[in-house]
Amino acid sequence: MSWFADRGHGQGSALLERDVEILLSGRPVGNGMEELEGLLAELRTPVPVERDSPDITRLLIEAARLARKADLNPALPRVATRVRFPAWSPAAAVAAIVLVFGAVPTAVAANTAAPGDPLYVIDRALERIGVFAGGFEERIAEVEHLNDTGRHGEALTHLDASLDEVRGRLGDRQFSMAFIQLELAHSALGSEASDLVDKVRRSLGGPSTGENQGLGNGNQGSGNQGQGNQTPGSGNQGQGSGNQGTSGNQGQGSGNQGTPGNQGQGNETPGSGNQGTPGNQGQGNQNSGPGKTDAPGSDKPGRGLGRDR
Amino acid sequence: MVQLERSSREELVVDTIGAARRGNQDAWAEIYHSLIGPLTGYLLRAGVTEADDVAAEVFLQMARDIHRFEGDDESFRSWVFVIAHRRMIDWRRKAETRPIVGVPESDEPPGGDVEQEALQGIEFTSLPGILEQLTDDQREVLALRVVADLSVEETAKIMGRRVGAVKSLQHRALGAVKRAIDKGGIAV
Repeated sequence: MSWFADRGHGQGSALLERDVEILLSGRPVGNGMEELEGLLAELRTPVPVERDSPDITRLLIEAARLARKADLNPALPRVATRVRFPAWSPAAAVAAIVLVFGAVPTAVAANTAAPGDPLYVIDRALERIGVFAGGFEERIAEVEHLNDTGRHGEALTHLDASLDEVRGRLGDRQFSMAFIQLELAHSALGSEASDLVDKVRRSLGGPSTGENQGLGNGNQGSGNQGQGNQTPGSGNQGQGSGNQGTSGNQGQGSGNQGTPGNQGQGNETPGSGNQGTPGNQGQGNQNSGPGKTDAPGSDKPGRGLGRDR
Repeated sequence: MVQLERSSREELVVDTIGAARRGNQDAWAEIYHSLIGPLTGYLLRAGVTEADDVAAEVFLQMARDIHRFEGDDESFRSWVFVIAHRRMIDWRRKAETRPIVGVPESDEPPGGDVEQEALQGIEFTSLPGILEQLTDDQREVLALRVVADLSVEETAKIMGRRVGAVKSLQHRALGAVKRAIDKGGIAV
């Protein structure tokens, strides 16, 4: 006996439990249900919809474009629409325990994971549900990490794959950072990566390599030369050479010309005993904005961003 | 050219889904023509007054996410209605906060039988009038089961409920419809 029949609801025949599925599937049950059957049949009748119009054509074109774009440049690996344990099992129990007791530390560890790390997929998944910020800053940090660890090709590929996030949030500073990364990766990879570099550069709104004559030779960061040695008797002689090649300041030439990021920091106290200590090498970062890309002590001429001004 | 086949339920073959994933416009046209009817019907019956616009949003969301979809035609249909359900929820939230514009202020003092006036505006013996008397969940379960022709399991997944809860909900929905019919369309 159904819930409604038990309580005497309705004035006609009671709606029995077994009738519900029959009615919903479109089959007749009779027995005073004819009006309900008719109403469900009306509900089942397709609503009139427009099937061909300029708006629909535009919609189809846009859908095809979006799908093609997503297929060529997926933000995440494809995942199955459903994940299901075949049955409750010891493996499922262990997984549940790990999930409960390991979720938080795993999530924290995943947040710092870089592309290629086993936890990186978790990091991206957590970002998608809003657990961690993600976004441009993290993508760039990942690109930097890859670049710093010598995985230049992966760095460039990752930057390419992150263009959707990058493009939407580019400010002036980020714009510079992105181009610094490109240049570093490009220089390390050589001409074989030119096509990819060009693609990314165009996506970011910059000129292609062919238009980029000189790769920013005007940005050679000379403002830092020997600045750590301005204080007499500080015992810092020799450190000037370390600063001369700090590429982080070289890169700033495009956006921050005249900002002497390294001037004497750590060495301003006379006689501070810094001889031989490369106290200036990392400190340029504090003032430099995109100085995270510093290569302390490298004597390469500044390539800047390739955007000579 | 994409190989297009149809079953009795106009389901999409996996080839079409794969072609759509690669950005084939013919495949998207096939998907559109197969699903736009049930999709719009579902949205309308669930109470979305701007069903065409929301259906277009659903379609574009499908295009953005189809590269993540894996499964057969059955699960594809279910996946589409998951998106539609979420868009419908979004639409409801926006509708609740949307300011009412274009209603002229009346010089007459407030009063009168508001309920009676509201009832006069609805034809309760018609399908829309009867659906109007159901709760949002009741309307949606009927829309998913009858209009979208989904199973109780698929409906449960889309609505984020257990199968037993959906069975109970659909029973209550049909009971409410039947009571409305039996009482001559007077709201219960």
